[in-house]
Amino acid sequence: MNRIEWLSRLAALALVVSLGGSAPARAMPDLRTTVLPIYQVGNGAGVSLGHVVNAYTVYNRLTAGGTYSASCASPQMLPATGQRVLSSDGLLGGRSLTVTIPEWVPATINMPGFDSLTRGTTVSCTYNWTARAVEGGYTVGSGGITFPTGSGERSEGSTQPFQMSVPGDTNTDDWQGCIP
Amino acid sequence: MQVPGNPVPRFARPPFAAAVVAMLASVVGIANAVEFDEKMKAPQAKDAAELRSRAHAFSERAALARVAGTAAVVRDRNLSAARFDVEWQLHRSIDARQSIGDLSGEGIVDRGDGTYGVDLAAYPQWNDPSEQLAGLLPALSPATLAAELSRRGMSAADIGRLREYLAAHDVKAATAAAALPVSVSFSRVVRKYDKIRRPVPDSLVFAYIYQRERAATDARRVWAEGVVDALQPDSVRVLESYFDEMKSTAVWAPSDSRGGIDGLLANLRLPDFEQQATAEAKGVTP
Repeated sequence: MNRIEWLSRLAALALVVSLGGSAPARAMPDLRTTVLPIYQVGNGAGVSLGHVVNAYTVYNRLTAGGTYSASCASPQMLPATGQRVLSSDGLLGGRSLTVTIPEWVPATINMPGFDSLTRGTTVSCTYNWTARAVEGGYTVGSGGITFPTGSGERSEGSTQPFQMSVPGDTNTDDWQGCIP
Repeated sequence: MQVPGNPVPRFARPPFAAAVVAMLASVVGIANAVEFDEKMKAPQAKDAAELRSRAHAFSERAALARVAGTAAVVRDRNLSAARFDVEWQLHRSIDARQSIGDLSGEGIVDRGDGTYGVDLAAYPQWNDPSEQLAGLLPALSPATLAAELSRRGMSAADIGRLREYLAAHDVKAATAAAALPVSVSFSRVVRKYDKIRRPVPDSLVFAYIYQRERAATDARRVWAEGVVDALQPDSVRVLESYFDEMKSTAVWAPSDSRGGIDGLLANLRLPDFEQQATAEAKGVTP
C-alpha cells in the first residue's frame, strides 16, 4: 500500500468515526441554544428540562457542547448537573453539531432532596445553562468538557427560573394522600 | 440570485461519483442537483448603511410573512433565500471584522467582544422555522416529544404521521446530498487553478461556500416542508406553540476565514476527494 493510499484510507476511517456525531447543517455559522420548557412533572421530584445546542461552521472542524445545573433555594435540596460535548470533522465542509444536554431531551431529572421538603412548601429553582462551540483544530479531553483553544469560539449562558411545590395537607385531591 | 434549474456539467464526471451522486439524489428526493457556478458570486454589502437597510427590509418582509403562519413561511422558498442572503452578508462582515453598525433595532446586539447576540424569541425574523424544525425535531426524544405534543392537543394520527416522517426522511442525508455536487464540482475548479499554477482567489472560495450553504439550506427547507405537509394545519399550530414555549438565542461570532479556507482547499485537493466526499455523504444516508 503506497503512502497516498494509506493516507486516503486513514482519512476515510476518520470520516466514518467523525460522522457519528455530526448533525444537520445550519444555514449560517452560529451558535444557537434552545432551552426546552422547564417544569415540575406532576407533584413529584421530577423536573422536565434540557437544552439543545446547534453549532455550525462553514469550514471543516467543529466542537460544541454545554452544561446545565438545576438547583433550588432550599438547604435540603442538592443541584442536579450534567454536561456534554461532541466533535465533528470531514471533507464535506459545513460541519454542524446538534448537542442535546442531557443526552435525551426533554429529560425528566429527579431533584435530590425534594422528598425531604415539608408539605405545602414551594421553592424557587433555576436552570443554569451554558453552550459553547469552537471551530478549527481541537482535541477532546476524556475528563469532562474540555475545549481546545480554537478559532471562531462562541459561547453563551443564562438562567431560567422555575418552581417546585409539595402539595399541602388541605389539598382535597384524593391522590395527594400518596405523597409523603 | 437564481439557482440554475438544469445545470450543465462543466467537466467530465468520473462514473463512480456520478453514480453515487445520482443515487443519493434519488434516495433523498433532490429534484435539482446544483453544481458550482463560477459566474455566481456571493452577495456582499458595500457598507454598514447598506447592511442595515437590507436587514431592516428583510425584518419587515419576514414580519408580514409570519402573519400567514409557520407552514406558509416554511413553504416560501423566496423568503428563505432572502433570509439566507441577509444572514450571509451579516456573517461575512462579522468575519471580516467590519462594522455592521447599530443593528440593535433589528435584535442584533453587539456583545462588545466582536460577537453579536440575538434573542430569537423577541426577534423571530432571525428564527427560521425550517431550521427550527430540522434542527430540533430529529434531536428530541421521540417518546417524550409524542407525549408533549399529545398534551398540547396533537391527534394520535398526526403524531404517528410525524413519527413516520422522521423515520423515513433523514435531514442529514438530504443536506449532504445537496452539498455534495457543489463540492465535487468546485474541487474540479480548484484543480483547474492548480494546473495553471494560479492561486484560488478567496472570492471564489466564498462563492463556493455561499452556493454550497444555500443548496444545503434549501434542502433543509424542503425537508421541513415535508413535515408541515404531513400534518393537519391544527397539528402544525401545536408544533408552533410547543416551539414558542422554548427560549432560543443565537451568537454570531467571527470565524478564522484564513485558516478555514486553507483547510478547506487542502481537503478539496486530496487526490481522491470525490470518492471520499461521496462516501462521506453516502455515510449519512439511512
